[in-house]
Amino acid sequence: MSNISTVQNLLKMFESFNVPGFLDCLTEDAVYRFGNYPAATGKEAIEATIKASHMDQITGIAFDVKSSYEQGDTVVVELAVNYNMVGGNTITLPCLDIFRFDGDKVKAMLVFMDASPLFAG
Amino acid sequence: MSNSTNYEWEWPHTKKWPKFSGERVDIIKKMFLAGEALNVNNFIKFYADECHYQFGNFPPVHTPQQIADTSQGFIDACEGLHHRILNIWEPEADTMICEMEVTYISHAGHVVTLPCCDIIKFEGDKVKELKIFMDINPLFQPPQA
Repeated sequence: MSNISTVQNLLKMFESFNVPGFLDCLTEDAVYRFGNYPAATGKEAIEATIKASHMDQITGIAFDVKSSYEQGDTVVVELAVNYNMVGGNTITLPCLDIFRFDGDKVKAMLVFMDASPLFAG
Repeated sequence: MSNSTNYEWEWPHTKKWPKFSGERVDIIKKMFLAGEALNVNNFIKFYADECHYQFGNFPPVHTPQQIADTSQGFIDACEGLHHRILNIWEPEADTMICEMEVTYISHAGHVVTLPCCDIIKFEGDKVKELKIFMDINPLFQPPQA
């Protein structure tokens, strides 16, 4: 599977809240960083971070991939992220993800976005 | 002999960020230096007449003058900044991706360092598109006690 295919797969798992499937795409010592929050290292810390961050505010998430780039062991994806909020509103926010690979596993996922509108209600 | 009253500055220069160089990289470095000088009139000279500039969640603007107009709030909030470039990629022709940590100092002396990634698309030697992905909110918030 190409690295871009792995990323597409991983994004689908996010959309279906499949956290174990997502974690399975990562190396044991992977790094995950969302916005300005401190980076989480290792699957256990990443799982805790993802579950503690914005999952309480949303009932659904969908990624609209605008562009994707691959260079060496790095994949960069530009997205519009559509959030279905608890309460029925939808919010669309621009986002860029950097994925760094170690073999066929992701060793770093860096999410660059301003998610503050999710918490503004 | 240099004339002590005549300072001939090399400006804008590209000696900062010596790890990164190249024709397009040097344009980006000059653009960042114009930004670091908070000189919006120099900053907008890097852009094509019709362009796409988007900072975070703010609506995109499409001319150099609109970039200048919408930058005023940022300039008012910021005494200075530094782009720490971590990586620059050119994954395809005319497209550059720049991963950074950007450090800002507010007029009150509040310093924040924030992750940032830009997608920069060129048309010739002008920037046709700049998309800045980051959460700038901490610059506008008072320091936490």
